[in-house]
Amino acid sequence: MTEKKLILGLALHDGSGALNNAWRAPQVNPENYANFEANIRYAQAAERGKFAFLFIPDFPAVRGDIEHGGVRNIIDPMIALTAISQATSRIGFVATGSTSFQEPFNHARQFKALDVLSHGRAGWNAVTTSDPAVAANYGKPVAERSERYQRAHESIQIVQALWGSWQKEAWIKNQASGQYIDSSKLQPVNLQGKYVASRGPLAIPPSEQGQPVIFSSGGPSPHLLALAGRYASGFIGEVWTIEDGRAQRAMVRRAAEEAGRDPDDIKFFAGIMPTVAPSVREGLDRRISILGDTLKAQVPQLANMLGVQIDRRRLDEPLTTEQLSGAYPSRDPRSGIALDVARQGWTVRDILAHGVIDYHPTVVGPAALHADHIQEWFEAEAADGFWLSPDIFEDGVDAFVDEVVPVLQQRGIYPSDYIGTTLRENLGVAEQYGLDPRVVGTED
Amino acid sequence: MNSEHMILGVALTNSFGAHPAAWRLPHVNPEAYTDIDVTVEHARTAERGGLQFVFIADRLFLHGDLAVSNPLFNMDPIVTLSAVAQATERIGLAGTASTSFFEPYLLARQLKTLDVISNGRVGWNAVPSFEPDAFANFGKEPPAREKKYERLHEVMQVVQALWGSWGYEAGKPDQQEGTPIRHM
Repeated sequence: MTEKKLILGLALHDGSGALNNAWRAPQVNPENYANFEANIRYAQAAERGKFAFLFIPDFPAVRGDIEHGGVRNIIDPMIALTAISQATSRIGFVATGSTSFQEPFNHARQFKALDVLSHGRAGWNAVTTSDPAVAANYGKPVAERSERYQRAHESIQIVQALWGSWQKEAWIKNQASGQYIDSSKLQPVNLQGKYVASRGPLAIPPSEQGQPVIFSSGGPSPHLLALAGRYASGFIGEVWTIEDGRAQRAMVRRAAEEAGRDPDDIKFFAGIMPTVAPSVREGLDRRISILGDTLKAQVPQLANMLGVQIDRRRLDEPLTTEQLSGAYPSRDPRSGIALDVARQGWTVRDILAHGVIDYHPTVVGPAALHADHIQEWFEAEAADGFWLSPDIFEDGVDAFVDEVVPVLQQRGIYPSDYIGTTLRENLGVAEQYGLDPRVVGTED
Repeated sequence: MNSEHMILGVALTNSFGAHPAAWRLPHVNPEAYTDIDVTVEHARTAERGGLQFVFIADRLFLHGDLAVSNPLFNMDPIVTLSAVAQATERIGLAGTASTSFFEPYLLARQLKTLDVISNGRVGWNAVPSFEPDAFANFGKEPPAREKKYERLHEVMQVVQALWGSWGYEAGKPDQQEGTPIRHM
């Protein structure tokens, strides 16, 4: 079958899991943040499940709730992924790196070094920084949006140009003749932007995939779409419904087309936060045992989402017929899902345990339910693939890989093995080395 | 006094050797520059010999004539040492990183992460860049000679302060209490 297949990625952060309080779960070693062996195991499990990539979101600042909430961020993306690269052979690595506070030459060098030593498995989620807490760590104010994006465009173009500056045929390495490289094929890039610049060249040869793959992530603002449309081969989305997914995927594809590219050159990934369990009840109980009192604190938000009064003391009762008949979804995109769950007659505690206030759609229960969700979105063209944030990494990655992945494979929508050895091949995106001539207008 | 021993380190900088034509020797892999397994093997050999550290020097520009000689420096010292850390247990990992072009927060984070995941084996050779060729790769002009170390002093102090900002007394996470660290 040559039909296109689903692509999966796994988000990694502090080694605990996506659930609030995940670090307190009994099966979690709370020191995983600094003990990297656990993350290596999760990466190897994802590789067993033929995941195309690991995705590292990044928020390089300490959040206010660290005292009880934990760190919720990887210790350092590049160091972590380089370490993981030595214990894996196929899975790709997409690390977030902000263009706002890093020099393009440094980004170009570190990402291409990782790409080369991992044999073509690196990707860069290029983002701008708008959070004052992060900016403060660099001793700088948050720049205006137009300046942040201008710097991002310049940075990515310089990085890609530096990547291409050691041309593909440059490396002669003829021990007999003594010619190491063809100097005419390792030349400066001489790029000067308004905010960043570099002369080059960068003395790193092509990897097996040429150069790292660029990703974008976030909500589809016009600024972000213009950036993603020009450079990104993957888009990490945040969508709650199939309709959202279809709309955002279409926007991202259109942005690529407007930049002169093929819309199939950019893959859209929707998030999912799975809890895999033998039954829905057991899945809810697993979540409740970890979430504890944090569920009660979500009651007012649920009430707002549904436009009803909910008594915090009646957590173990379903909403009354009266409440349900008066309920209507608010503008929060998760409200419709919350209302659907409420109408199924679950108690307030169980409604919340369904993850209706989480950051991504949550599926709780046996493998077939997860496969149904994924298949429905995929076939509705709401996503080219998914990035997973499991409830608890320690057993959640294995459960998904060993139970859900085989179902997806049986249904013929997920590959039974890696398509290739590089991230680019496993994403099914086009070759690129250096700048894209369609985007920077140097074609012909 | 009687326990004093000489300390040995080995420069793994370019994976070839100190001679500019090392890459041409028949038993040398001319692709050693990009083959992390070669660097790892050298580090493990040094560890077997009880050497205290490996060292990766650095320059932020193309150095030497690549038409006839191999690169003098590493693809990237910090990335390379991160890979070497996974394949070694005791040997120290020292790398050069210029204070001229990295934000101190980025340097502090990468070096301390490497130190933590290698269980305390990392050293940093902090140097100021001064070469016009290095500054050109960042679109900048080098500082005047007398100001060469000005930024280095600031960067060192910010990096060390950040390193100490998670205090020893912050404690270990307590799953029962639900308090991973204390505010100081």
